[in-house]
Amino acid sequence: MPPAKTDPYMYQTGSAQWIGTRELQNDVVYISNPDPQKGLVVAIADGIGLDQAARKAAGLAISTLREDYEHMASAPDISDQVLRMIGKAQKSVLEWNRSLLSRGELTTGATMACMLIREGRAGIASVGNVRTFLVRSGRILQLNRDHLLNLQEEMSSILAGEVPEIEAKMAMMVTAYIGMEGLKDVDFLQEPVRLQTDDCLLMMSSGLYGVLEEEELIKLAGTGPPGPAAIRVMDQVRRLQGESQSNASLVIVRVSR
Amino acid sequence: MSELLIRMSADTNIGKREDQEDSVNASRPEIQQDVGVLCVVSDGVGGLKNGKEASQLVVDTMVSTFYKSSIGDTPEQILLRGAALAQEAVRGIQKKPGECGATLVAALIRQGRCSFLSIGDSRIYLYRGGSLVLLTRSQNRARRLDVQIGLGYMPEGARTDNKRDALTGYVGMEKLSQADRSSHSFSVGPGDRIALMTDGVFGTLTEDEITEIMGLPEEEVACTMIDRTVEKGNPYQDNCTVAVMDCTLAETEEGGS
Repeated sequence: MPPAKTDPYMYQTGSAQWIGTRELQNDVVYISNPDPQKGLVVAIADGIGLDQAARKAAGLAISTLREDYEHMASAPDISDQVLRMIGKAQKSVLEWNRSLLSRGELTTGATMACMLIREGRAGIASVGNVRTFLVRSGRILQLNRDHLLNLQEEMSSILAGEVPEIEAKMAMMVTAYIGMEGLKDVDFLQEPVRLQTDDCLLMMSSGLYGVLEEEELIKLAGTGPPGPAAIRVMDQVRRLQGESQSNASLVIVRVSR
Repeated sequence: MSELLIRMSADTNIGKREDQEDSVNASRPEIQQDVGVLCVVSDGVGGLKNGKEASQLVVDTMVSTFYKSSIGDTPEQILLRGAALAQEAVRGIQKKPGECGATLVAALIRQGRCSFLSIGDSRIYLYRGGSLVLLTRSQNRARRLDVQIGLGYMPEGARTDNKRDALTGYVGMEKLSQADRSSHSFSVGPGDRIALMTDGVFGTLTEDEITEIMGLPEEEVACTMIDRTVEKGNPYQDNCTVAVMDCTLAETEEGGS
């Protein structure tokens, strides 16, 4: 891919998806072309549920986000822009949900993460548990939050001696999603991450969680061209497939000079 | 055989204020191989009473909670319980609800993995591979406005709200509902550094300056950070405090046969 005019870095991308043991693939992935003015956008939406409606919710979220990015004339602040794209996705899926409700049908939604990379920085906004990571110096760091903390509830529980299994709960629950009425819990990076050569950014849906050990993920995803790397990761997930393997999606962005 | 050793240092300055309302505390480093190491920084909320007393209660409560924790407690449980007890302690010295308060940033490293928790607008950074990553999210009006504008709930003009810096979460707040914490612990290794700091530091130094200082020899980082902050000569310089957790390898003796 050609380097951006005002960006000191080049960004190579690769992706892989697997339906798992599900009947439908309800993850939708978007990777834009890198635009020197607008930057590179990567997004994953993971439809909630197992039916066609879940797929449609994820698809609608991504298509709305894509349209907003492609028609954007100027290049606003990175954080403002990712939030706006998430906001547009939320509005379109919510409107669709309301039309479903008016017809007496069940509503649905999607968890989603969106990353914008421009001028050597990465901004991220997310709703729900699509995860983004930075692999740097051989170690991995999750950049976004799965869920925002329900502080009152968790502090009360812990003082009552209930000792909640916080991590297990967090892994299982979706407390916010695109299409949710009254959505408030949107996570975004306080400041876009400043990137450097050899950084690797990963975005993955929940089907990949807990399948690979951290060191194995770093080894498979963190080196070499991102396209084959993403396929290597997914091949290993297939080999380790559990009895109930969710849809799995992965995007890798490699940063170079 | 080599094990990870966490070396801690801290420095503070009153700035141009009449009182020093920042506090810092840490667990004893000699027990870190058994139970880990905790570092805490707190900043008394401006405009409220008894800021120093509140911030000191916060850091002391966090450390005492750490010492009283059980072997089976996870770092996330320890941090959350400490925050809950700190909230009770600060509320306990109030004559009126919410009349005093303090921020809280805490990082706990155990067996090569770091977990953190934050309430308010103090910050935690990870310095890795020569670059900074801001780990925490602030609880302030600015962040709430950014989400509401992104979701389309408020117009763009709301961004210029003159109360953007007002805290929406602090320890001692009457209805404390917001905090930030790591979704999952992350691995740390030799060369990594964690910096906890109050806004008197990052409100004065640029990201480049903080990054440059974080790359200095371990024993120079904290004092240089504060010296450079004060040297900027800001006539309204706030209290400024930084604590640094440096990860390095400790050579241990080989066991005899």
